[in-house]
Amino acid sequence: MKSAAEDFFTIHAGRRLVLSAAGAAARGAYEAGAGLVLTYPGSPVVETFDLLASPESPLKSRCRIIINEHVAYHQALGYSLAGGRSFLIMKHVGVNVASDPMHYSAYTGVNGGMVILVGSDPGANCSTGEFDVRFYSLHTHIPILEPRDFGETVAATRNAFEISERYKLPVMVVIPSAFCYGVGSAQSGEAAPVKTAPGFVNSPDYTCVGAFAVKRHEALMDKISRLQNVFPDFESDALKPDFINNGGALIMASGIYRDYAHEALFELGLSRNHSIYSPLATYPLNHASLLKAFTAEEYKKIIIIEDLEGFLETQLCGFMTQNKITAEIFGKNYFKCAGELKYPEVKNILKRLLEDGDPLCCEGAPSVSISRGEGFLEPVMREGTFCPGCPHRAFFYALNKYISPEDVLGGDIGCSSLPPHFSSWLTCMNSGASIASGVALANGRGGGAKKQKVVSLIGDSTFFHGGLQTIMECAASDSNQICFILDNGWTAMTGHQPTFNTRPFQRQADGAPQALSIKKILESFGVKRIYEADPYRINKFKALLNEIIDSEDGFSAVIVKRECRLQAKKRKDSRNEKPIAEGLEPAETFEIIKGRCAGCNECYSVFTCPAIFKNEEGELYINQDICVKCGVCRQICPNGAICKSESSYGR
Amino acid sequence: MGVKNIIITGIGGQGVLYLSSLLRRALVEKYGAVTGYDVRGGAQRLGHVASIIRFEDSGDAARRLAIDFDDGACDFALALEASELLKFNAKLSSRSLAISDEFIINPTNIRRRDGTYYGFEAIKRHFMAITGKFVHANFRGEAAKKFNGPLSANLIMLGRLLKETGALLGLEDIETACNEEEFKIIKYGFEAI
Ligand code: SF4
Ligand code: SF4
Repeated sequence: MKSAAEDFFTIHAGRRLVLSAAGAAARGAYEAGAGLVLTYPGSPVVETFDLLASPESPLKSRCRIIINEHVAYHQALGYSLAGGRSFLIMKHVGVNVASDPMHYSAYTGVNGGMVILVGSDPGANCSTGEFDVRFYSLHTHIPILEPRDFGETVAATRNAFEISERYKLPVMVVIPSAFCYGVGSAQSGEAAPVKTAPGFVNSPDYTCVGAFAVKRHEALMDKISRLQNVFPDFESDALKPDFINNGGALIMASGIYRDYAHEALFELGLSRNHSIYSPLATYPLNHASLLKAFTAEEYKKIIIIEDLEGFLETQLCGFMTQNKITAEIFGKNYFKCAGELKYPEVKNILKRLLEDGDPLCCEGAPSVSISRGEGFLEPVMREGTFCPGCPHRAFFYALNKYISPEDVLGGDIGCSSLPPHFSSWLTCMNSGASIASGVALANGRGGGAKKQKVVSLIGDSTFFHGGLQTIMECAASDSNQICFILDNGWTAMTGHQPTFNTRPFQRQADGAPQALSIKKILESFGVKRIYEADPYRINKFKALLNEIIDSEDGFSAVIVKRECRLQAKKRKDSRNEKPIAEGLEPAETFEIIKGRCAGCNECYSVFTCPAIFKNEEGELYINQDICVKCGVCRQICPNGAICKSESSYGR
Repeated sequence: MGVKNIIITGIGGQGVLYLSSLLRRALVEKYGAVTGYDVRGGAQRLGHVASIIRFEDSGDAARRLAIDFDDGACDFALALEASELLKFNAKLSSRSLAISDEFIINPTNIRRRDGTYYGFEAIKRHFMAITGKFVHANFRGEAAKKFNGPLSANLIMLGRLLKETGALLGLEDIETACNEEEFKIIKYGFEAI
């Protein structure tokens, strides 16, 4: 049996692959011969980078994790201006960070193909916010492809490089999270040789100021007009929309919703009664092919299926007005803007619009309803939680003893955003200390009328991504807050990518080992009060909190340093070291001694380590299969009931 | 015959995604194509994880399948943690056969409130009322006894699922998708449970 990776990187066409859409995009970039692959890690497209950077990948030495999306975008643009093919991977909120250079890249244009894979997140399943990233194209004018199935994701990503080179524009490939995590079958295409950068040639086109900027803007509008008005004839119609004309209503659907429409019509027995138009390029919509569709039939009813906020609808309405086409449009007044659009909802709305002739009803009731009689159980949502032995759990356990729900706890992105703490806000990268500095200003010294403490959080990865400027500003203005820098050494939430402070580690395949010291950076920024703490040594950590929590001295930074337990365990296991926190006795397993446990539930309900279970008799026990032997529970049990297990002695 | 819809659900760390990758590989070999999606959740561990697997067994290659399917249209459901299947209540109907471990993990949000969670008996009654076909066993216990580790429970359950699918997918179909050790455990689930 061939390994999945061997199959994935076969250079030949026609291999049947089972992959996610995120994986399909990786295959497409490989087939296109991308010379540079860049990312800042972010779900749901982490897998795309991970595959291309995997040990089996021929592109692994060309893959780089970059400090943030803004820097990554510039780097990808530079490579492309020098003539190479660059592939940039980010989530929708990464586009917010990269949006400044994005605008300019449409003015400068590109030379080598530059493709940006964006994982959007309708339903905010793996992100904060579910912004419709496609709307960036209405003002950057960067073309968008939204592949409709797994096979097409391979081809569309590959062809996006060709399109980018043909029109000299970056091209975005947008895949929603449900599809990124979708898994289906696709056929491989032929892998092209890697297209590296032949060299940069100076051009006045790259200066976007004054009259030059106006000229570049004109050139950009010309390109968009070509994309809009020339009927797609490129690469066996790579950009050609799917169009099936059966009269009836015209259903316009982008991305995965094309197949939702097909399946719904099939299940409703209406496949032959209505038409489907589905563009691969959703910006700009191709007016030439739309005109052809509207000439073929005088549609009275147009139904637009897309997630989030009516991107197709906005463009289609513009096209129809321009071309004096009138028809009734059923779009965002029927298909919701907020949250993920699910299949049963799509089918139900189509049924009502096409079969029942009930255009006023837009409530999406399930097609099969189950009786919710006595004994019916509603699901309970499982909150996200820290892993067993996670240093963040120990940190928040201690911190919660020193702050009250009325205090201000500025949350940030990363593992530390998971419960059991509940921060005062959770918005974008670097929101913790930044918003807290505004709150601290509003409160003034002394915490204002409410005497609020202001504390903020930032993970090590976010610290480097966007936190540096905030911390400099906080130090310069002596912002009255304590900022906890949760340094677990990895971008853990998105799959343990290394950060700038990951212990000596070859961060880039072709770069020098580097591990920056957060403490030295803070010192160089002029932070006067810097503390270091180990959350596993919980009593010492509590003593520090006790000392500093009520200080009104201005800005303090606490580096809370303990490596992500999963990473530490993985490395120690492989070196056969004893998996135990420094400073604790070398026990290997812990157990709860029945006779000593007072049933106070501190470990179970307050500390909530998931490795501590309750049996049917209500007795607590440690599940040794998932306990990572961090020993923190032993320190927090007020009754000394958690001990080294007997079997640990004498080893 | 026609389109078949499978749900595999459990919590992070149980191996739901690995199990679904084995099944998908076997299905692609046999039927040429699969579709579906995974729910990977926002939790680092112990969060909701699921796989939706869809395939067409009558060779209608031209038919386009959505990655998701309609309410009530689940054919087979595999719950590695019993209460996780409740999240798919709407997808189940009398058409569905569910196989579940008797193992339940209280969510930490329930623990924090020190609240009680559903017991297995209540969950069993619930699914019996919806599907009428609810197969359950202490698969984790069985795995710990026979194979030295509770995580083999997922493979035992896969074996049991194969038995229930009849001719759709047999032991010989899965053999090429997994290694020898895994196959031994799947076979045990097929034959002994
Ligand atoms: S903290 Fe100690 S005494 Fe309290 S429930 Fe846990 S083991 Fe028992
Ligand atoms: S030692 Fe205690 S706190 Fe650490 S993982 Fe095990 S049960 Fe959890």
